[in-house]
Amino acid sequence: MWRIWTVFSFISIVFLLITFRLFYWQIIRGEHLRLEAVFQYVQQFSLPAARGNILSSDGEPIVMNQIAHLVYAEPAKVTDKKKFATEVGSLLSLDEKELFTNLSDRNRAWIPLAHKVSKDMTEKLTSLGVSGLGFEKEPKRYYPEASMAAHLLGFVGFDQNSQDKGYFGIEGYYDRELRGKDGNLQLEKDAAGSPILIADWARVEPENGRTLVLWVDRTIQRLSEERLKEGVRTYGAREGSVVVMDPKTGAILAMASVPSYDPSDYPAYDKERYSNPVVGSSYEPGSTFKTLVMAGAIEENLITPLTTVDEHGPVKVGEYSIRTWNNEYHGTITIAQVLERSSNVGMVHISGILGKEKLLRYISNFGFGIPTNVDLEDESSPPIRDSKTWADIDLATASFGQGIAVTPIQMVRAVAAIANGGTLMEPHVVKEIRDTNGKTFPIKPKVAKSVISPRTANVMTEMMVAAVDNGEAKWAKPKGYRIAGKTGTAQIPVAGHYDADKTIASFVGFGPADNPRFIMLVTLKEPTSSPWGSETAAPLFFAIARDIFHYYGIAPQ
Amino acid sequence: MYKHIQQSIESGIYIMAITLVIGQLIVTNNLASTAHNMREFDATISKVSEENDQIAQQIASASALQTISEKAQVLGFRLSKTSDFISLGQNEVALLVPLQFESSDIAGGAGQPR
Repeated sequence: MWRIWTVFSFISIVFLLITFRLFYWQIIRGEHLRLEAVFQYVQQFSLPAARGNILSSDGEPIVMNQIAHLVYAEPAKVTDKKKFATEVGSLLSLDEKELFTNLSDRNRAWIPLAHKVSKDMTEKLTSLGVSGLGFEKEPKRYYPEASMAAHLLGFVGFDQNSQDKGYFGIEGYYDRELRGKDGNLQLEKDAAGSPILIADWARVEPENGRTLVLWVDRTIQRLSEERLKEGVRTYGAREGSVVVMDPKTGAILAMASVPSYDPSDYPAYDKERYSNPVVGSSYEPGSTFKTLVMAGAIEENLITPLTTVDEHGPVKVGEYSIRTWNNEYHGTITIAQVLERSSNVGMVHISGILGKEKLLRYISNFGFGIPTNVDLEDESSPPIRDSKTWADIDLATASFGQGIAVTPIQMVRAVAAIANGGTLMEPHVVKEIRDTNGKTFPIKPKVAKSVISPRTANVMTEMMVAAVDNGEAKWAKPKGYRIAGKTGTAQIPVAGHYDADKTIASFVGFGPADNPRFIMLVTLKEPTSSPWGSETAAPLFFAIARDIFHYYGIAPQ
Repeated sequence: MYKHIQQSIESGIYIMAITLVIGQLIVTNNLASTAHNMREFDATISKVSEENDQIAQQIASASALQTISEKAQVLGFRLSKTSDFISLGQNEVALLVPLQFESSDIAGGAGQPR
């Protein structure tokens, strides 16, 4: 009997052991084994979406994709790790010791070595003939016009997951439109790695990024950049910017800043250069602001171009004394002459007539204190102080553009309202968006609000034409053209006071005055040849304006 | 008679089954070799699209203002200091010639501004 029990017990134990083992493999390790099997017979490919192109207004690409590769190593397939580390490491400028250590790590099946490697380099790497080296398509941005419009365009870098991401400018603002959506392909393979067509497979097509067509005219952009570089050099300025806009639509025709950077090699530049000064940095506009204060006073019927004001000497505001820019005084002068001679004293009188409440209302109506909604990522807007904190001296200095901060895009848009019959437009860079099916989504010009009447706009235009024809910068004006404009020279606030030597010189204007095709703002920071806008920013403005007239084929009258 | 018919049907089924098995083998074999072809097609598509991208890049590079400007300078074009405008008929049509040849750059030419 005991023998039967012994055999029975033995069989039971073996049975239990087999049961436990089966339980282990099928239940506990089942999912893991299933996945391992899937990896053996299923191939998965990522189908990367191509990032959308960016075209200028004439349809030519200014940003597109070029062939590049992700270079990686598969340690298990590397036969000679030392040779691999030395030869591949030296070509890709990698630390050879670190690469060798990584290749020797048994836990690593795949090591990314370098991103967005050029085709020439991949050919050199292939010619090494080392095993375990692989390449995967990873297109990178190509700029046919080199660093043109770098601040406007932005650049493409990586996010936390090493995926492409647009930063700054158009690339940042329209990142979701441009990046598209990756697809994938999953299929079963045979021992040779060929797909088994009778097996199950799934394919999700990639959705390529959309193409953006800009309002930017690459000819105007290029000539603006060339002239700006030349101007910054000639006048010894630290920085400079130019923005050209169509006043009737708000379309940005050109936007340039110096110093700039190369978006294809952005890591080589100081990060402070990435931000676009035209939309992201503020300055005190100086006398260019007089046009807006004056427009408000005319709109309120408080003054006319023939109204006279007293300019016999400096004007006292509380404990402060406000002088003219050259300390010259002309007695009784008309409002038109206040603008021509850029009289600070005259403007203090006008601001007194207009009053605090109305002045602040016009500042707000002309779009200051809030972003312009331009379609660029890095826009900022300096706040306008609460009306309760405005003292008489603040009111007086604001009338000639000191003590108030604006961005260049806000300033050009505000003056564009005068060129556009009193209507304030929303500035826009992108004209239309095209999807991969060829469908086009136009972005229509957007009216922000009506700020002044067409009558006031006409009066202001004529006064600005006279300011150009009779002002300090008349020597630089292209002959035969009617250009409306105003110079500006603002001191730079430093630690609670104004720097005596440093200025921001600017000029804002539009032409032809009777049917404006463009409005432009030129700013030069800390010019050393002369601090005055009339001797630096104005000649630069007129040089670019002359080029634009020629480009548009507008003859002098 | 009935048994004879039954035997014929059975034979037919066997023949049909064998034919289908052989057919299946042939089709599977074809599909296997088609898979190989498909891999080649994919490689060709990838190569052609890569070439297309390269050509698009070359065209963009060649038509860039930077390139055109450099080539124009090599050919002897210089930026004109003045511009010429003409009126056609009653309409004020302005034609612009912003670039001109320098006389020394035109072999045997009259040196007239164009």
